[in-house]
Amino acid sequence: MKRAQLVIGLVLVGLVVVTAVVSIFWTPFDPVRVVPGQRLLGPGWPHLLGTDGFGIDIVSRLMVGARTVLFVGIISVGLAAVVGVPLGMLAGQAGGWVDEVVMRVADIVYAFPALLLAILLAAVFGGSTLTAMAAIGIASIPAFARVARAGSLQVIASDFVLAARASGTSRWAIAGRHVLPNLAPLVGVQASVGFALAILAEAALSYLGLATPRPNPTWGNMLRDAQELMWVAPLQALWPGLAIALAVLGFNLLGDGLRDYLDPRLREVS
Amino acid sequence: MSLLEVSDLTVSFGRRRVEAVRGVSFRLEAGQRLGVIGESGSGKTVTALAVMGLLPENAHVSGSVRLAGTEIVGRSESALAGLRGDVMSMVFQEPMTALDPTMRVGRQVAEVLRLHQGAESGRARDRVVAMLGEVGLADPERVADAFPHQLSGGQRQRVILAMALINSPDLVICDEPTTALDVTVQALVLEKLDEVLTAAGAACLFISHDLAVVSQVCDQVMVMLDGEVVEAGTVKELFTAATHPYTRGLVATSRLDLAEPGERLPTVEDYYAGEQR
Repeated sequence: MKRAQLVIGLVLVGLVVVTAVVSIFWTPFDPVRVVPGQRLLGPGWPHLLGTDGFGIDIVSRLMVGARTVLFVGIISVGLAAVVGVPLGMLAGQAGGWVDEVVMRVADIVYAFPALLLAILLAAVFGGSTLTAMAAIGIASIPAFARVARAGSLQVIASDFVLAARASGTSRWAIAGRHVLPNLAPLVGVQASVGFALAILAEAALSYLGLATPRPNPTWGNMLRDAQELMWVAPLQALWPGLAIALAVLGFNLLGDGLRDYLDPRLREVS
Repeated sequence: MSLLEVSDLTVSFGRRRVEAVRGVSFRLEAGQRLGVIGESGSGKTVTALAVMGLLPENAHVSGSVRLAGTEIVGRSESALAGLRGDVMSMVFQEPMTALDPTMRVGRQVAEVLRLHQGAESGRARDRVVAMLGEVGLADPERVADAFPHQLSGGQRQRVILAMALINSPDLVICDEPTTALDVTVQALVLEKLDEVLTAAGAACLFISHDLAVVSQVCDQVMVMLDGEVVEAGTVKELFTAATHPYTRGLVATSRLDLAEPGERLPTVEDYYAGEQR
């Protein structure tokens, strides 16, 4: 049962990754070129899922959309982890006022709506994939800082850290050699869950036109285009919606599965 | 000058200054072994941590701990880090948790060597494998490449012993090193400990609640009760002429060979009811 979660998650995530990689080299049709004669074709051959309002193959657009989603996810989650984890470790290790300052700033960032941040960035720099990544990344920093801080506190209190200190290891060396490796599973789980959130956020931002601009396809702006054709071609909204749902589900299942798999206490029970 | 001189050591914790150790004094000569015996909460471990300078930040320490003439109490963390693992080292109680689960054990032992000797990795490896062999591990090459969860409790405890001894410290503090092991493994580890301590000529502060174990390793014993030393002397003196009722209780409970078949076994409470009990 626990294993199934992890496997389904891995399969869905794997599907997104493979699709994204393949789309770099090959898509069945041109994902941006408008073909006026072939508007709104239903599912069939050679357009498996049909064409959109501009006569572009939907499968091709979904494939390129997967690439954008992965790219945004990797960069924003990476940014959040690279900034958040060291900050959380610092807070946990130093304690006292450093802890207070770092975590209160994290609370403020956490309380600030990510959407507002994205609108702000888009207003200043113009909406692009880059502003979307920055907004999602910054908004995800507090989650990583919290996980890293809680994990550090736990690791620092462990016997093997006391043993390392008893052998003369300095505090900073302990942070790098003992705390960080032991945080890796926690950070991995958080990254997987953060990835799911990033996909949703990217979809929302490009739906609102605050991320990747047209004609480049993303699942979010495909949804927006479909909305205008809701009464003519309702299936148009289904495909990008399904893609978003399955990708988010995949990363969430992967995160939960990883947590169960890596948590030795849960492993013993099951 | 003794190797270790502890005088009037008092440790209290927190704002309310709850005293865990009160006015403890003892000395340990080079190469000598002193057993510290007492029940849970009697201040044995706190005394050991005070000697290592490893007490948590909310601890208030007064009195003096001198290691080879150098004062430990109030020393900076970095000065202490230079002594720990080199001049003095510690063997912990729980072999299951005292090793980092994410690191191969060979590297953990090598780390101690590298910290104080600056040994190059190639030569460190040889020293580590040799040390793992010395503490009685059958296949030191394989053990060095293993992660802690791949080893048994007895194997891990010997790895911890190797970590504590690899820099040939003058003082090794053992905090109930065999409590978590079963009796047969315990005997093996104690035997090895005795061997390597003798070979290294290291002094040892051996903490235990088991008088039988202490008498096997140590020549001097000190009995702690509620944060104070209530009795000290050689193992022989303790067995024959204990003065404190608590010690007499301990001695009686450790001499099961004297118990008559069919009789109720003695307990410490038969001799010492305690003040708060």
